[in-house]
Amino acid sequence: MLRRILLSFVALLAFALAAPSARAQNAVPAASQFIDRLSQTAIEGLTSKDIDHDERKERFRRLFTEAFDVATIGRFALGSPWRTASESDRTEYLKAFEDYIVASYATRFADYGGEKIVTVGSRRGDDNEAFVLSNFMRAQGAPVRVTWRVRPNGDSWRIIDVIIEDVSMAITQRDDFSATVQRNGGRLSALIEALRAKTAAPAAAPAAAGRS
Amino acid sequence: MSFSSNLDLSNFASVRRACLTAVLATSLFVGASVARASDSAAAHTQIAQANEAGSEIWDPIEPVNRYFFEVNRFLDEVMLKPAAAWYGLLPQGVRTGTGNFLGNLRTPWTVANDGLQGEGARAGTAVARFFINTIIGFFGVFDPAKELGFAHHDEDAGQTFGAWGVEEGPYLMLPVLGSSNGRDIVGFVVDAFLDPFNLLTRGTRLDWTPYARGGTTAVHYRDANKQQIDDLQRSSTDLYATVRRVSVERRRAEIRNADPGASPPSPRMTDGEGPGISGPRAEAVQ
Repeated sequence: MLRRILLSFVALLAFALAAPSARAQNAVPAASQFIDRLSQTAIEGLTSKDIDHDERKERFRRLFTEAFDVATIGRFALGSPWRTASESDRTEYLKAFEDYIVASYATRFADYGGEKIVTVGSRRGDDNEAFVLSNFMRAQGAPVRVTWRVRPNGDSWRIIDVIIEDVSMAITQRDDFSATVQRNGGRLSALIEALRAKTAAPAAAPAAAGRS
Repeated sequence: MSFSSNLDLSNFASVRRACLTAVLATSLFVGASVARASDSAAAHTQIAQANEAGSEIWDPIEPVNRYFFEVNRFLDEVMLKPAAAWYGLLPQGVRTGTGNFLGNLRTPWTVANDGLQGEGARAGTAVARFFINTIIGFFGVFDPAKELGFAHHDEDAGQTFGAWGVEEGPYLMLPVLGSSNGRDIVGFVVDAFLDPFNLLTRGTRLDWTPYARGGTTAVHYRDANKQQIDDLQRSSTDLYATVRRVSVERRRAEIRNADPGASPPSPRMTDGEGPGISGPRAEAVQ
């Protein structure tokens, strides 16, 4: 009996060693290059200690609206209320959504400590979409797996989702937003107010301490 | 975990039990991997559909869950967060070593679960990790196995049930323990009962160690994920809904044993529509 167990352990070990390493392939090289260029531009343009908070926010907004398909993400994140919303409500919501993202993320570049995004390959998706796989290398701890879901945009690409360690930001945001709409009697205006409150809040948050 | 006091096993009996579990698990997984090879393709498709990213989360007792979520946030604020802040003052090397040590304690139970899931290669990796890190890595404080190409992974009974096709059941927010579901709460009890190190210490003078281990694990992860928790608290408009989605998706990915090189299953992103918003909640929204 003991010999059998030992044998099976040895067999398992051999099996584990022989297992092919999961090396990602580059199915859509252009999409990978797009993410490479984007992270390069972000590090060069946004992490400088010499620019002030407003300048950093404006630079981030330009980069974000250019590289991300804000309308698609915003529509998806809102879910079904989008269909019944008036044109002016939609415009107001998308503006509040964009401001909220800019306020949430721009300040993080002020505390930049040498983190890097290293693309490791890409996969084809449906409808000409592509997934760019990357590792977010931190100063401490294991790299974080980040997958960029991109859609063709002319001769370049636009990001429609960021998937961090298997968690889609678009889906998470949709749950967050629809819970807020639902708990406020289905009013879209309540979500817009909540987003504006969040947009104003990060200025006082600890992350802002690094920008002075 | 109160049943540990009901079972007054002698030290010898505990050791024998642990050995029996190990033998049972070993023979089971060798058999299981053969038996499952034939129907694994069909089963995997089914599991993939049930655990698809972005699909609806069944939360029938949401008001109760939200109540316990607030209780947990309070407990976090007054106990876990301060404890993690103190722990965070320790040098990074000490904290990494603590994480490695805790991970190594889990590895034997991971091996058993890999086996029960018919994951022979993953079980082999975990066995190799356990021996390398226990012997060369000073009882698991260091992780030389990683340098040798044996990457860390965790398995537990809830994941095994999931791999067998058991559905999540209702989403549950447990007091103190946090996010769970009908399947994983059963898995948690099985884990606490059958984890080899818990079995070894039961009924001995070391029977307090599983609690110390649980507490240390909680503090360690609270410290390791401090930044992410702060970010979520700051940016979400409904923290409960956000935490629910993040924890469910992480769990589903663990059960899929997602290949890091594969593109994640993703819903279509068209105008205000998606699989996750259909069903009962969509009606409530409209």
